[in-house]
Amino acid sequence: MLIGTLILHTALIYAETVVFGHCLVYSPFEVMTLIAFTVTLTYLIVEMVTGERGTGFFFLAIALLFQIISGMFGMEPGTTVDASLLEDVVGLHISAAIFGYTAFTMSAVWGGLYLAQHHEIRANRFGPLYRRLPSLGLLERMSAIAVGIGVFFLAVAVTIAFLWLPDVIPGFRPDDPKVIATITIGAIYLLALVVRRFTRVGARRFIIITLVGFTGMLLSLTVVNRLLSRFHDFG
Amino acid sequence: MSRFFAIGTSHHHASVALREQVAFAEEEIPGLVEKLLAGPCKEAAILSTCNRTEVYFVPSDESFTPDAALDWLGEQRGIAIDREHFFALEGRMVGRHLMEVASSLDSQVVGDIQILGQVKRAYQTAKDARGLGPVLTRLFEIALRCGKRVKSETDLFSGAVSISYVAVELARKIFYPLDEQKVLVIGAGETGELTAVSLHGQGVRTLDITNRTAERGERLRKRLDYTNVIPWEERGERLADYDIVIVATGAREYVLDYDTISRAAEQTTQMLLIDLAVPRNIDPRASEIDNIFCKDLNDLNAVIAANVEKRREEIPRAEAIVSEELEDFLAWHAMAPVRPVIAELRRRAESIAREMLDEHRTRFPEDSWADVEKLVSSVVRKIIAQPLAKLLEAPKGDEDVLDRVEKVREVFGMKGEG
Repeated sequence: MLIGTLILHTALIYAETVVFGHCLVYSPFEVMTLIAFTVTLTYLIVEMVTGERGTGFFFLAIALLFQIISGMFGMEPGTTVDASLLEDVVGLHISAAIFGYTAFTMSAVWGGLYLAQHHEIRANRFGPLYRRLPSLGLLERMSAIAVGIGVFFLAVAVTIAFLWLPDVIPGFRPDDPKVIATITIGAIYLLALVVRRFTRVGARRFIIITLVGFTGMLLSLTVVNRLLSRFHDFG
Repeated sequence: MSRFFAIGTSHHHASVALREQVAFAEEEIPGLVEKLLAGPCKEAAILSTCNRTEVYFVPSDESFTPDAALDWLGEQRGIAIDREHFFALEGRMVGRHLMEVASSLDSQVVGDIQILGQVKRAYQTAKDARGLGPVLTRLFEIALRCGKRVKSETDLFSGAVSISYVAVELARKIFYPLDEQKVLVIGAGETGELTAVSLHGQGVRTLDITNRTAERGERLRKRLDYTNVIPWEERGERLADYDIVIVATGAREYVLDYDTISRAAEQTTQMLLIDLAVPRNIDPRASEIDNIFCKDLNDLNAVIAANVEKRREEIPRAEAIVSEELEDFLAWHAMAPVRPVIAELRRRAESIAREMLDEHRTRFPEDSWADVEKLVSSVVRKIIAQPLAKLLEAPKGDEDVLDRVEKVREVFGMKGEG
């Protein structure tokens, strides 16, 4: 059923892209449909790999909420948008970045739950939180899968940016704080995966590294985007 | 209406020694049920576990009262029955009791999942021995349904309440997947063995044992043929090979000291140490090491206390289910005298219709005969529908269902039958 929903959602995104003549990245409400899609896709992959459905209701409810809001307040066909956003590569770049950031956010949710469960067990608190949350090993694995998905999409976004964006965005600069912040975030998450795979650093440290990456991501989307970036503004 | 009873004893009434005296082995039960059927009962079932021995029966001989049944139980075991340590129930109380047993509300540890399977086995054994008639069949089926409902609709059965299960539950809350973890059991005593068995039951494949006395370790390995034994002296240097280490020896000192654990912690990502010994066998400072979870009996008892409390909160919901199912059974039982009358009424009506049809067979063309049969059958069903509905109505106030049955017999000329 989830796979069927994703196929329908893909068709909807494609249809809206054709009708509007641009990727769905112009308004927050358009972005919400991409977030809903990524949340569902990431959750599906995690569920297929781990078989765990315990956190499904939470994530799918969020995806549904985002999609409903997007559907209610989305753009009407024919609305004018910033010219650079009509470029396919820009749309793909932003879409990939949204996919990546959404996956990182999901990883952070699982990471936060991991730390909560870890704390409960160490403190010998065996109440409702301990009973309801999945095992530490599973939470860490779900977080790691989401990080993997996030790193992949962020790598796609950065690759597109370096290969094609200089041609379509006149002010593009590789030393822009936003570009540097994005690459740094990707590097932190990649480091987390490498450390997890090849060293004896425990699961808790892996989670902490990913949460550092997530904090960086939040700063990049707020402080860096608003105050320091010189060309990431299409309002 | 068949009267039904239950007699027996349980952990509420008798000591372990007395319970052992009256307990029946599983293979004895069919013979005992047959003995009851050949004698004073038309239906009988026996439930015998380590915590209870109970006989459910519908007497064919009215002199076989619960008191006589208790004497019968004593005769089977060759003991004198002290009534103070036994119970005797009738009717509604039997129904409530069996449903509370099946839903584990009557268990020594409320929420003990085993009892549901034990009731099911008692039902099956009695059925195979032809001990179940309509009353006990219905009673056991509803009791089993009640137990299943309590299991699925409440959290009464959730959370482990024994040390070995809690240890496994804790391991499951840390590791994923549990079956891929490597386990070392230090100590070949009963506690370590129980935990090893529980872990194996959860699919753990690598299970090693070490014991100060090698022979004892070897004996345990023979009992648990899926385990390996490692030399006692190597337990420290090989500690890092394991994800879960369970320690339960009779030693008065630490068998895993802080330095040994620290060294192992440097070579592993995460380890769970469970100390089931008194006095403790693992240096408690191990719990300060970042990637080590170290839990002792106090910690595990805290899990048990939390789980017991959680189960206690579920009792009212479980009791509500028991009450619902009990009413269902009692309503069915109250209507028991009605069912033979209904069957007889139907049989008579159909028989009259068949006679009339046969008599007038030649008056109808062959191609419309099937329609005529259908029509007559439909008319008959409609005629008896109203009296049947009246018969099946729930009794009002003090109304006796037997009076109703008598009236119907009189009206339809069924006096003296049934």
